[in-house]
Amino acid sequence: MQELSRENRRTRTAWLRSVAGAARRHVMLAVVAGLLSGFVLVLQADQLSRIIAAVVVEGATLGTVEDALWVLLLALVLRAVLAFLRDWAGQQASIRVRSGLRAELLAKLERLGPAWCQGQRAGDVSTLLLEQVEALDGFVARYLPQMALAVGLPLIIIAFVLPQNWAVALIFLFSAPLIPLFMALVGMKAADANRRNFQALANLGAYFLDVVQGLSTLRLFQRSRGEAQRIHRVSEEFRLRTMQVLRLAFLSSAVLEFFASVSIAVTAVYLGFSFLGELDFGYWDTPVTLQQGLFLLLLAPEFYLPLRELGTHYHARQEAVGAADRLIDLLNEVERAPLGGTASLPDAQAGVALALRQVSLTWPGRHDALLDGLDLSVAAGEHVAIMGPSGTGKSTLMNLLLGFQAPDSGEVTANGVPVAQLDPQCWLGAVAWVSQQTTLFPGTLRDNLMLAAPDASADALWQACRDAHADTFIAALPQGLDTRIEEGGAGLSGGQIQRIALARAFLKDAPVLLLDEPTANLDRDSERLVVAALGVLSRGRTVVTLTHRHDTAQGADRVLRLEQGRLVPLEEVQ
Amino acid sequence: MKALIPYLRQMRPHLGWVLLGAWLGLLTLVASIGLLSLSGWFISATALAGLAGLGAQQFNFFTPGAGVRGFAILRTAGRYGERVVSHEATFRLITRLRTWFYQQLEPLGPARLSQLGSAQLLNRLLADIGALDNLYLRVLAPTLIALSVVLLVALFLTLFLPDVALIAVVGLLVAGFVVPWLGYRLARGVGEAQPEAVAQLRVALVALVRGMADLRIYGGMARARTQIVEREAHLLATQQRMGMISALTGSLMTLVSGLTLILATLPAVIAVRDNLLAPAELALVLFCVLAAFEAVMPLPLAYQYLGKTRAAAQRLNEVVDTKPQIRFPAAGVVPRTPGSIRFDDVYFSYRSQQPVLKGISFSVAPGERLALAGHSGSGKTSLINLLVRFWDADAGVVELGGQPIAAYDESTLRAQLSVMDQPVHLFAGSVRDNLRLAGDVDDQRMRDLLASLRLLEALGPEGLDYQIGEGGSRLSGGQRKRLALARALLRPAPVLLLDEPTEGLDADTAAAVLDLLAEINPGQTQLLISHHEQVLARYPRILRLDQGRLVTPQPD
Repeated sequence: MQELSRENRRTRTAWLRSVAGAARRHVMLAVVAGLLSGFVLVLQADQLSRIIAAVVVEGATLGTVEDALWVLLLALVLRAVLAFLRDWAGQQASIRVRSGLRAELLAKLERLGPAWCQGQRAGDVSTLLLEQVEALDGFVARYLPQMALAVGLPLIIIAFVLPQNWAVALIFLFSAPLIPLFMALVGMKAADANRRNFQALANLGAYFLDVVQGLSTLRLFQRSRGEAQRIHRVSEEFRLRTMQVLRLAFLSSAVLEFFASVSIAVTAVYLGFSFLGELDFGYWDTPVTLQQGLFLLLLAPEFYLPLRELGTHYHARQEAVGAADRLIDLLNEVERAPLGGTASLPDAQAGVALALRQVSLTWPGRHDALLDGLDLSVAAGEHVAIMGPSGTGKSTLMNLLLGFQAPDSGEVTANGVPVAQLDPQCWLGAVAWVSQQTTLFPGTLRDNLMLAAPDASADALWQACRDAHADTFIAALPQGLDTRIEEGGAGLSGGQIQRIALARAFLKDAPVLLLDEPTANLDRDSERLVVAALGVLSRGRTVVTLTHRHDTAQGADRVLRLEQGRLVPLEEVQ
Repeated sequence: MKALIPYLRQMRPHLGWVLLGAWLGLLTLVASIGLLSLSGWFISATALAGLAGLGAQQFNFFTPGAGVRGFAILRTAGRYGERVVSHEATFRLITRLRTWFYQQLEPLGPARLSQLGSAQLLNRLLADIGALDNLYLRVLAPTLIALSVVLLVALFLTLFLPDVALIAVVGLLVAGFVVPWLGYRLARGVGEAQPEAVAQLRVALVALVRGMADLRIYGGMARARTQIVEREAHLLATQQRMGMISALTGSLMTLVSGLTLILATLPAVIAVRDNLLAPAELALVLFCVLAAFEAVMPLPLAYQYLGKTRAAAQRLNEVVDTKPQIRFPAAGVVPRTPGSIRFDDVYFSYRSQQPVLKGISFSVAPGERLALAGHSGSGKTSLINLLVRFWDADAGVVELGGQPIAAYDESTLRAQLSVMDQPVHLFAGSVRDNLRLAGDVDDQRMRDLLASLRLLEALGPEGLDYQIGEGGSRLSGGQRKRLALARALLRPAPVLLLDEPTEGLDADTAAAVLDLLAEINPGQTQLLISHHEQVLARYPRILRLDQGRLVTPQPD
């Protein structure tokens, strides 16, 4: 189990790296800026140590060190610019990665098609495309460049320290073999600490959400007062458990801190004793000078800094790995939506006849077939109602007719041509549908209506609204057809939204009309209006209605019942 | 800052931890500055001594050597201690804040809470509470520590050179407060635009996922795709602006710290020439200035948090400051005829919207079983909301147990009602935990009831210990319904209110549930809401509601 999860982690990391590959150049730029900044840092240390040594040892004045001060200033400006460049490049990399990934996920969603989307909670999917993609930000922008810098910057420093003094280089290098160990320590322990910390907070948050959401239930059961004590107790338990882990986990960062501190201390003591003539090793040709000593001392803390910074970015990696899980799941989702062909629908003008022949379909992971050798033929202009409780496969039947889903076996045809061979554009162009949950899109009411017929005239638009009994309430809106729809439908009632869907269907004027519980969840008045409008709309078209209510099925030529994967005629309704 | 005061007040009981954490943080920084400065002085002094021909015998290396080692250990220990203590303080504050906030929320009642609106707003609220969790760790402690360091460094440097002290203080204050403030000002507009951009993108994404069938059929895919791409571009653009600002802030911090060092060098070098500063002390002074900037580095981030935290606190204060809409008398009456219900000419509307109930009158005798029928939106659920007094009627009388419900104190009212409301809320935890809400019921009774609801078998070998997951996610919709029903049935109360208890159950199970409801708890008044004729048919008396009115006259 442990091995497996480690294996998983590796594939997720590999996936993250491949996704980040899209922005390789910008990541490289961030790394180069960071490394250049390292060189400038060495230059700064060099100049500062020169100034101090000159003043201390030679009694130099401002005039003598002026040049060095100017170099110091220049180096400073350079570092500021490089720091900006590094941040900027990291951001650019992150933006590229996120927007590329989001485009890929959107394309995947389209390939999965409406049948798949219907089975998902829209909120969950949007969270995946929003928050989970955003979770990659810190990983690409900061963690990835820092990974390279945590190795590169100490190497640069060693490269400058070694020619000056091998003893100090050894003090630094003493920890160099330990760096991979630190990486693992910082990596695993700090990550563990971070993860548990975040997990504890997340659990606490989830518990609190549960309580607040259930507040009315708690009240009804007279438990709401006492719950405060329980919140206190649960939070305290979280604190104790988490602190136990954190106390241990913080030790790893303390180790890093320890080495950073000790290397400064040991360097200082070594240098001091060298100057006093107590120690006589470590230099190459000439004994160590004060300038060299100050230079080495200034570089000591910088040697460990990149590693410490890596630790602070570690939770960004953790977050990205967590998100990767769910993103990979979506990208690996099996695509069952048919691609569609190129054939056009023959004789569409004269009406469209629909047929399903021996259609079977079983959901993956289920034993019993949802549809089992189902036959249905609907003549052009005929109105068929299909009844059955929810969960019996009515929606799947609708998806098969629309070509959003392919059957395991059997055939779905329109005017004798298999729907799978029809050009989707052409086939869907011949269909209008009204479902139980119409979605209005961000934009104006007019935009929503004109989806069906982009070239419709204003007259045609209002006529469609009148036919759908939608004209009165639209006219009463302060901005009429220009009312903006954002989330959920801008204060329109369910009945009103349903009538807008009907107006859209009127405007489309298609030979086939598919209705999926069009009057579910409506109040009596709205239902009356919608039923009346549907009666008009159905005239002269091929209509298939799905419903679980007898009154909705009333106007149909034939009523069938979906039972155990087949359609049987319903005798009592004529 | 006023918005934060109630939350700062919550820190008082844990002030010890808070201060200890800050103090350890300060100690760590002082050790860090001391380590570099003392090391600088030590090697300068030894170098000068060496040049003067002095050996280890004539130079007291013991004290500075010990100092260097001491600072190194202090820094390590201090950092560890600071992290442990500050997290301890944070968790303690979290406990306190959550408990306090719950206590503020609890009396508001569903009428006020429903004003908070959708689940999304509720999530927002909880995120806000989460933002306040970090007030101490991310904002207060770094600020407190930075200010103390500035003060200590100023005092210390004044001992050597007041000029350098002045330059250092100005530099530290600029880097620590002016630069972050600048970043904060620049980012303010952009920061506010960001949640809006996220929300807009989400709306477009949700519309695509929810409405893909509509879009395919009515030919709107291209438009939806373009809309998403545009909104994403807008979000990325605001993020980029935000990122530029923080990159700029970072660069400015580097610039200010370096400039301060260069400026401090000038008077220091002159002072050495004028014998105002011992040569060996030059490195000490300059390294001190250099190292002191570590204290202000976390501040830009702290102010970003502060902005978020303040906005969160303001939103929370709005909730905390609301007054409960329903007030219960402290000492109320006792029921005269337990189990009876009477509505007399009741009118009701939610927040002055269209009236939902228009003159409802009916009464129910103790022990009677009554069904309430009607389409959604006909006012059935509002009737229940009035009976449990989550809302008050605009006009008319609602009586329970022969007394107006407003006359009861809350616990007497609650004790008379057992409710299964819609949508049901189950709590994460075991089946037993959830049923325990009904009172101290023994396991055998729970099991018997679950068995007659055909739920026990589905729980498998774990039985009552079965963990149902968040919101009952490890149960099916029908199972959730039945567990909530069991919870209501186990609670002893003269009146049982059930809102669509069979919705989402298959016909067989629904029939079993209805059989059980017909015989369980004799003597208990049962009021059931449904729009299924099969369900209604099982009740001796049916009231039909349509658009807020009773449509069939009921004999009293």
